[in-house]
Amino acid sequence: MWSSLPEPLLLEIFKNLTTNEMANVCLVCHQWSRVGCDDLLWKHLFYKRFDTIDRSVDRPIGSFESETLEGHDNQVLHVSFAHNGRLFSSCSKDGFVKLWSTECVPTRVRHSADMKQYSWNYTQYSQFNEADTLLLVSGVHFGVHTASGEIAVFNLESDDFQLQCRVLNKPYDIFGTWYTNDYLISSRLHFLGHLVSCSALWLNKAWQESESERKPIIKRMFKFYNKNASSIRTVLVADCLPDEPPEDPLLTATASTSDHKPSASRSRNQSSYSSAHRGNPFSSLGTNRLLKSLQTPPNYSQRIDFYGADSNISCTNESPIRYSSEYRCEQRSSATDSVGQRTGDTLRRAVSNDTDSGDSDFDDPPLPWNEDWLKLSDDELNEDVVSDAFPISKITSKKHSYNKSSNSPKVGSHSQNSCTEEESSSRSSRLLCNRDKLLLFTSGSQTYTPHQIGIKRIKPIMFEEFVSETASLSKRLEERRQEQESQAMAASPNWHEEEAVAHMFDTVDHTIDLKGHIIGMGLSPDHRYLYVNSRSWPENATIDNPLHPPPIANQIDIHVIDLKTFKRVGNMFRSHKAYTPNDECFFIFLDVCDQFVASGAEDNHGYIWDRHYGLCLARLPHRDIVNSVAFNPKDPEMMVTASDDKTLKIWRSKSQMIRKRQP
Amino acid sequence: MADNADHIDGDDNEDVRAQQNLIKIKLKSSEGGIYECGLTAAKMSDLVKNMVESLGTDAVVTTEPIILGNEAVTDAALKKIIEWVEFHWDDPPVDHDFEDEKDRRNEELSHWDKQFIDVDDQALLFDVIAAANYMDIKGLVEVGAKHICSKIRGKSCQEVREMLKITNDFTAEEEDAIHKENAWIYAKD
Repeated sequence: MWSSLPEPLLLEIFKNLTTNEMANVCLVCHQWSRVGCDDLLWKHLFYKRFDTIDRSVDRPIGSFESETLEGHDNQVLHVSFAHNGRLFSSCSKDGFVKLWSTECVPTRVRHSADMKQYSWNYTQYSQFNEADTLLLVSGVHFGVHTASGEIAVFNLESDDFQLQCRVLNKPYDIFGTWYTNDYLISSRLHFLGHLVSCSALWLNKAWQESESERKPIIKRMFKFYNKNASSIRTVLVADCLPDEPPEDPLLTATASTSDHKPSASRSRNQSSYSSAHRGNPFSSLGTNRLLKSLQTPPNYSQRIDFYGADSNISCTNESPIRYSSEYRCEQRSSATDSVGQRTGDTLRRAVSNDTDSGDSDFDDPPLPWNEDWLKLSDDELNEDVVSDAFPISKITSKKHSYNKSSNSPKVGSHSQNSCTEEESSSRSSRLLCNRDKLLLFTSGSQTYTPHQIGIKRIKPIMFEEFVSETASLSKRLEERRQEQESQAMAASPNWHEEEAVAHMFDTVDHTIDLKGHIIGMGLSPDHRYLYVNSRSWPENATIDNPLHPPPIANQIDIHVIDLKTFKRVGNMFRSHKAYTPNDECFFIFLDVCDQFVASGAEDNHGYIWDRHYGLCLARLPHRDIVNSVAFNPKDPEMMVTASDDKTLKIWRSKSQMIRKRQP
Repeated sequence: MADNADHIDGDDNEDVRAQQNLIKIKLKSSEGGIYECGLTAAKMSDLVKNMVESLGTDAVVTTEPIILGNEAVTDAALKKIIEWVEFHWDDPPVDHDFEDEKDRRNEELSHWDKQFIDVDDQALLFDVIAAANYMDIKGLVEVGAKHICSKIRGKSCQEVREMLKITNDFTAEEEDAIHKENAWIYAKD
């Protein structure tokens, strides 16, 4: 009977015990021991025992409930802050997106839009662009089993929260993300066959100038092959850090953490990288040291214990996140001398003389609104000098694409100089962004639930300025397409043979298999680290049927991925819980600021942890599941949580609360 | 009518609270027993409070009883809980924001609470605490927690296991590991 006491109750009991009594109850049974390891519990005991400790080590965090915002009529699914900290937006099952202003107390709804009028079922996700001039809102269409969604962009500079554009988005849980201030990434899903599909990622301009009918506003970025009913979801774009991806040993380590079956895409990846980077020694001392420090724990990735239960006991002595202060300093120093490195890169890149292939990788669609995926894909077939896709010619066609892709990592590091060059040479194009970025997303290879992180480098993208001679071009394209269509019809490839059709798709640069159901991702403010909420599968879980993913743990693990090395640098086994079964679609979002990590949980609490030590610093109670959390980027002492209890709560530090109470 | 109810709900004024407690609502246990309780007292349970707020006060007063489906909410436990909230409903509200956690820990239970919670029937005690947790009555959860603490205090872990009928699921190595980890606690200064 007493062993079935709910854990929050146990915690409540333990709150009253002294240090010695705590040490005692931790020996009663596993459950008590686990609950008894609660950080907040021990914090008080620690202060009591070592009463000379300066309490100011306790940094101010937003752990005091400041306001409860009622404005949504249904579960609040997501909250997101503007970069300037003055606004935040919330998405909800009630179909509204609401924009809240933090500048007045009490916090008020500044704008609100009912997306139901556009046959949205609900709004799921929102994101401000970097300049905070536009808000991307992503939602789900009506329909019981629909995977179809839409992205809407609102203008924040206008007074009336003007809807500026809408973009179809499928699957909806890709959410969409900003690529630059004016361009966003959306997705289309094309089914190729049973359990096989293609995720095409599109770049969309957030508005179209009225005078520019012939100015293209969309462009396809990538096509990814999805097997076993999986698809690409939850895209994020991170700024690329100046350093190169690491040499082989680490790369191999990365590969070994993902699935062990050698797949075509990965071997292709590795070969391309080794060829691209051989003979390019890391110039900076920092990087070498960084590599060493990473390698110190041998096979750390293997060492990671996927089952939280044991490690709750064993990992308490060591910091659960593996990054030292040295490691962090390294990053800062390398960021400052990035300029030098970049020029170095430019030289090397200039030698390789492949500036043009950047363009060829991003085909403009013949006509902006053409949605026929098969026809589009044929453009690339053409460039590869492969006119058919018969298995016989498989080898040659693959060779071609290998060559091409081995170029791509080099192109991937277009530096400023080479780009301006390119720009001047073709005045009809415009460069969207002169820096490399990383496209981060979740995907699957074994089952449909997202269990991998995919990383793809985005090269600077050239956009055609004008489509000239529309009539004749379309005519020509029409002819060409008819020709190709007949060819394609004659030889429709077997989409189930991944290797045979691989040349038609873009490859993923890195995949990191987390062996669990990924339910949320967040970037650190410096874009160096990706934090991932995932619920792990049982150890040695096997997947026989891609439609039946393994059961998932009730405990959410936070994994940390270094976007410089594409390696897991640690994970936290923490007590935040989730109970939704694995066949349902759900998200628990997290947010990261310089010092803290925060996440929602299904145990009716939001959580804040120390980013360095992984200690739990605060629990933020709600009446129902907490879906999303967001730090104020300008003021980490303030944060907002969004919950199924239909409210948002604003949390502030104690000093802010006292200031607020004073008239 | 809705306006009126909203007004009452939103007002923490003592008179209004007293007045509201004269309104009786019905609570139904998981075993089917129906018990009356003052509105202000019942709203000490955050669960009931939420229901009342979403249904509207009028609906709750005039219609069906509020069903408390959790199996811990037995007839006996519910009676006990109503006894507690009817005694405590006019306690001054706690300002959780600024209350020092440390002070609350050290605070002794009142004489009334001690007598209330000191029941011999272990099953009833468990149900009352679990039900209070389910109904989200923070004050009562605290009383229950402190009571159990007082029973745990001074006992060895084996005695605790025996008292609460918990099986030891540790291996010897695991026990050693925990001992080692907690060595600093036992160390003499």
